[in-house]
Amino acid sequence: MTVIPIPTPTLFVPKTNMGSRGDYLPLRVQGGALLQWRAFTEADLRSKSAQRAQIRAPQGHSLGGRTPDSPPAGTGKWRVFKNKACFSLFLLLLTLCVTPPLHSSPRNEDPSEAMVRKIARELRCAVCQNQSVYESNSDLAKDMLGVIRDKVQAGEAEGAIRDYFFQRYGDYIYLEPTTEGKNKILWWAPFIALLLGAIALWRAILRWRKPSAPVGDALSPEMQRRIQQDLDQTSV
Amino acid sequence: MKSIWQTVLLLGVLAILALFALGLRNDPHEIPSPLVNRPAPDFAVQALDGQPIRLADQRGKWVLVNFWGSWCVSCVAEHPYLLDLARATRARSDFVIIGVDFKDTEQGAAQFLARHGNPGYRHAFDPAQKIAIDWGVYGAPESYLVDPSGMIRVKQTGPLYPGWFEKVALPLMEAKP
Repeated sequence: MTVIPIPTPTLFVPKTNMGSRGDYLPLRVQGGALLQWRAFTEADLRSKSAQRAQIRAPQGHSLGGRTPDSPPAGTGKWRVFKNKACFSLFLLLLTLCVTPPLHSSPRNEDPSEAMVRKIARELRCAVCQNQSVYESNSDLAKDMLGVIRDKVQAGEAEGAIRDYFFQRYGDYIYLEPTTEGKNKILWWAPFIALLLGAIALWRAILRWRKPSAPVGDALSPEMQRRIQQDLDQTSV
Repeated sequence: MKSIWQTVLLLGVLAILALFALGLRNDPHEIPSPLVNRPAPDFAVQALDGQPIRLADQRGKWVLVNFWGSWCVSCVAEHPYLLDLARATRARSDFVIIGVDFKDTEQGAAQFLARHGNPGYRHAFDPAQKIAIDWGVYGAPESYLVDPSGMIRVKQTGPLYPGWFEKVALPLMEAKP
């Protein structure tokens, strides 16, 4: 029997919250096994049933030449029907591979667009404050995207484009603060706080674990005698 | 020993409260411009009157660059002051105003000026807000005061207010030898 591996098709699914530019991101169907079908051909089936008939022949002898659980392999009508049914089912399933690409538009964007996306995702939209330039629908963000696109296509380096916006909008423009200058405080303060907390906790634990001074030593003999007296009375 | 720790703790809490007091008074919508005291980005585009306009041509004068658009509500509020300021400073040879009409249509701008009054100075036309982005503009109106050497000295986010010229611009202009 032959197994015809069907190449995993790439489904084109429109990404939500995308601009109107008609970009589509490919969603590669994971696990080719999902779509790997065994292809039956008529010849395969014929040889398979021939094999089965051969193997079962000695058994079938005592049962009057027929296996109890399978239809008669030799009778032509049923076999032809089964083969045809399998084959048409296979053809039907095959159409599933073809239809998704027919529905989607081809991914024919400019190769520089990936760089545009990367830069725009890391820049903060100045109007909406908590969205990236790429995700925002504001006019300013769309025009910023246009500026980025122009600069990428003009061959400017990623760092230079990021710097262009930094020069104009300052620290604000990066969604993730840089690790330079005053921002170092921002990055290191949590770790310093954690360290200070750990030191404080360590000191506290040391203090809790310190064995307290034996009480008995500090008592005067008179006090000891009285305690003993009280204990003796209660235990009786 | 205990009192030292208590003092440290108290100081720490006070420091955090002080940071809050400072930080919470800031307007998160107001983004400080790193362009102040940097050279103003030049522009050379078509003006609303159809003729070319270039910022560098005004070198040697103080230039008030006012970003506006006919879609901007606060610009309507600001407009009477710009009319006044243009009238009051028309005689000055060391001060000009340039408008930058951004993200707008020529028709919209013409209607705006017809309805609210034409201050008489020229406007660069920036429909794709390329100049605006180049100047770090994120809203309207925003105004920049550029000194005779082409450096941005002041950024005003939001409308210019009556008395702005005397309070902000004049002291700078007169301090300059």
